[in-house]
Amino acid sequence: MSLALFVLAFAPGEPVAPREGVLQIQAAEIWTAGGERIQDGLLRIEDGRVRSVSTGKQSDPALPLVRHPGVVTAGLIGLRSQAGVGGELQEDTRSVLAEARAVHAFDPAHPDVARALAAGITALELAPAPGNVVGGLACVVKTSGGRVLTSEASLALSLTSAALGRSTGPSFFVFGAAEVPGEAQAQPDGGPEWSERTPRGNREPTSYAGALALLRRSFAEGQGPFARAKRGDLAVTIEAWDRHEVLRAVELARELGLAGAVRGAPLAGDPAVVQALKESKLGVIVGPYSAGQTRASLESVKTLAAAGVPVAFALGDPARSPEALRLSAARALRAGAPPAAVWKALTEDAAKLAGVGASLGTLAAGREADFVLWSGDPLDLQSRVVAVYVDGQRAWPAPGH
Amino acid sequence: MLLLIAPLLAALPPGDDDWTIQAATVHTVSGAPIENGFVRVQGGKIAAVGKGGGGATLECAAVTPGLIDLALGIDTGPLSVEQSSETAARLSASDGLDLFSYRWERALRSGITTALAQPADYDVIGGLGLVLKTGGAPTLAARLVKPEACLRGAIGAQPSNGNAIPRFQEPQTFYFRRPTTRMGVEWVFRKAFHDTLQGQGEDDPATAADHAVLRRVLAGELPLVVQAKATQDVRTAIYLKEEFGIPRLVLDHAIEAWREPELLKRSGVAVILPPFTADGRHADGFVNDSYFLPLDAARKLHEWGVPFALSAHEGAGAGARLADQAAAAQRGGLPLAAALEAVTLTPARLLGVEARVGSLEAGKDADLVLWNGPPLQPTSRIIGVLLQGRLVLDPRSK
Repeated sequence: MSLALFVLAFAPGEPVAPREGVLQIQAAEIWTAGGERIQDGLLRIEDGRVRSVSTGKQSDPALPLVRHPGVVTAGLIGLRSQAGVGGELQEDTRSVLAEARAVHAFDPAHPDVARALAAGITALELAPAPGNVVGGLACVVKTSGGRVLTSEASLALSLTSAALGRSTGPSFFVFGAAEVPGEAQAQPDGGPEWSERTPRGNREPTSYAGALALLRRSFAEGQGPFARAKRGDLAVTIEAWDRHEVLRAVELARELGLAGAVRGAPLAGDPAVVQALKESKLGVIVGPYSAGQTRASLESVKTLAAAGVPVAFALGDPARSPEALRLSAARALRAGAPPAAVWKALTEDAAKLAGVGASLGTLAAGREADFVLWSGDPLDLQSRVVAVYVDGQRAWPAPGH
Repeated sequence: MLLLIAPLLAALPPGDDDWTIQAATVHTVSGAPIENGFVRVQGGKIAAVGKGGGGATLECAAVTPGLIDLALGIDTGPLSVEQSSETAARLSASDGLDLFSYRWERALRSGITTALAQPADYDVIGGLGLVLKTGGAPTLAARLVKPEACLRGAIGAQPSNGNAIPRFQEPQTFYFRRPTTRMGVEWVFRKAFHDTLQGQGEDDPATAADHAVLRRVLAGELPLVVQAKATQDVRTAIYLKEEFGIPRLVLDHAIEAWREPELLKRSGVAVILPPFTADGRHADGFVNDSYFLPLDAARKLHEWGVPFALSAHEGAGAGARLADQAAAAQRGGLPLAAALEAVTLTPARLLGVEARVGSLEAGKDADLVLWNGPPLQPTSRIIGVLLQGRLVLDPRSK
């Protein structure tokens, strides 16, 4: 990579023949990576990838040029999205289904996907729901053009009550103390204690200890995704809500050498949890934040960022507007998180935690040319999306509009 | 390195967690009470206990060891026990703990400094229990006293509750093959120990791991703590102990153990009593059983020489406090010294942690309870609690 940059930087005399798929964007400000902002920048795109980002006004008159008076950034990434999948992400017949692929639920033509695009989201992560101890493989897809970036982005694991004691299906006779369909916990802060709402279904495992034993066995014996996750070739996302669940997830990841993210964890800002996460190879996927989110929960982005733990926002429910991603970010900002950290959470860290950090999330030479033209600072909710480009092509508004 | 640090330490003023507690009565539990005595605490441990003393940093009417509850019941409910099998000896309650629960703090402030955590009683053999402190950082590393302290089981109606026979549908779930009666529960228990002795089914790694734990129980390395509420359950547990030669059996929630003096004395079991109720009646609406616990049950056990511990079942949400249980037992005729032992040294001995907790002796953990009057009386109050030398309830604050 560094060699390639070197070659590009020191070959100014090389004539570049105008071709299809070549584009220049000149903007008042370009946000590249790691909090860097280039004033009066020039972004050059070639064959769907970023060729260079530079300062100055030396645009090539032979190539198409778009002048934008606002801000250009990498496209937002919506993690744990359910856009256009119609509740098809929960395979209830098995607790462990590592080879289930969320990509098979992806409908590229669904209006949810188009709505996400219009909100400045250029990539979505679709992941198996947290109802299974091992849910399967998450995919990362583009919101325009239907392209699947990877169908094996990360392995979805779950250590929440939602995955424990589930039923394999509706039962005519209800046995057990308090059988409730195993929905993910609705308590915004993970809830103080277990309650009567805890499911007691008929599928193994019914307990944390049973889930851990099942996971240890799966990783010890498992081929495919299990072996890849242990080798470090595949990120994991562990669903964990209550603070004790997060500590259990961190401990499991340490024991098995897994890297990736904890998903949920509204109280991840608790000092004991932050400390454990800091020593782990896990980030945290928080949100989506609602208007009723508690202060302790909202402040976790600030606390985690200060500790150097990567954070990203989940998009969640398709019924929620895709604008929820920027709303979550705004709520974290209001609770004191630094803007640079929040912006990373929307792009760079989101890509990293979704297992696609090498392709998405920043505007640097060689990265995929997914970017957004904003009317102003994208962290300011008054700023609008002016245009969205995916794979170097203008995707929104659709060309011709 | 240590040599370098030692002179520095000597030059330092007393640490934040170094105390000298002076009390009108020091109840050591391991020995006779000391009138006008002191307990010196240094580095989280008890440095000295004696008569007189000076330079007190804390004063109170009485000081006792931190209380120990073997049936605290702070667990994650059904999520603390694996129900897909009726026996899960290999699994540990440590994997299902919620150390962030506010209930630990509540127990600590009520004087309980050490507790046994176990899987909830939904299985016949639920898994391993562990002893931990009720306070400190919310991690196992910070709170652990003994990782594998006992094996938990349940005899009676509770482990079969919710199980069913497949009358109107295919036997498709694990609830259909689990026991549905007391007979079935006893059979599962006996089968587990029988298969262990025979080495049966050990091709399956889970079964082999279960049997390894049961062998430790049979060898007396691990106590077996079983729920046995009703008379018939107390009998069943003791019959099993005698049939398989289980050296260390503890009957938990043994409401009606007092009805079987000869069996208790003959078998050498220990007993954990549940909280006393106003009229002695205990109802289990859950399984439609009822039981009776007279106020003098503890006194009887004491007179028969049966080792017993009192418990508050704090996790049950009844709001009962362990100190109040000791007061109630005294109302039933139990001497103070025996009541104190039943909430400190006896539970420590039953779980094999008496080298660290349970009495006021130099070298033990500085877990102390400070009282404004004679301890374990309805008219006295806990005014201070120290956990490993750390003041968690300050007697000086009004």
